[in-house]
Amino acid sequence: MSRTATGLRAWVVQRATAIYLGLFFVYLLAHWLIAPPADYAAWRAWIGHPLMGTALLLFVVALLLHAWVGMRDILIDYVQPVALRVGLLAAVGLGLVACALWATVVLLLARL
Amino acid sequence: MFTLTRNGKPIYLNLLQIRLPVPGFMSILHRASGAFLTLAIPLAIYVLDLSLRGPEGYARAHLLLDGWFAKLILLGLLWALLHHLFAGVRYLLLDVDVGIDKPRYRQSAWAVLVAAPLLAVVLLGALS
Repeated sequence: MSRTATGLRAWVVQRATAIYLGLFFVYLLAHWLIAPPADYAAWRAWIGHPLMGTALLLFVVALLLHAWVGMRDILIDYVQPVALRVGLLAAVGLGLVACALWATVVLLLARL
Repeated sequence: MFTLTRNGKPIYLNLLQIRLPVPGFMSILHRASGAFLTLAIPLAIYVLDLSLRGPEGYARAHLLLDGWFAKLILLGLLWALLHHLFAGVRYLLLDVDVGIDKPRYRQSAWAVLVAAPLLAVVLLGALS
């Protein structure tokens, strides 16, 4: 993507991840409504299933990107002092990356 | 009062004084709900982690989500999720020119504002 279209890339990322996140949430809510896990074994079997594990790891990446683009838009619009803006952007970015790593570890451990 | 940018264009961002039309109000809530959901990510991972640490952890996660305070937070998060989802679907439809004409974009903004809290209450009842 060209240097003149940096905003376009964020726009595309936000929409592509939105579609995946939306569909996945509808699936989660529907599954929970129709067949909620009966006990620990059922819960772990559901989360630990290879297909579900792959979908969840993809979900973590999509959520990381989606939250980053959204929070970046909010901070750039409303936080004017440069030092505060950069500090908050760094804090949000690091926090999101840390959360993504944490979630990945939790999900990988669930499959052992 | 408003300030001017370097090339003389006015910036007016006093959120307390701007009178928003309904789609604008819905849009601000789209942002607020998104920020709220982002802040909830670590909480969600914590509960997920707990629930996967054996039957005791699973029981503790259940207990953690069972109090009235936890229910209140869950209701807020469900509302935020549904508002963000509905408003997001509305934006995706607007992107492809669906519902972009005069009465429709106002009506759909109202629909998002009303449907999200109603469905949040229904879902919390059904899920717990």
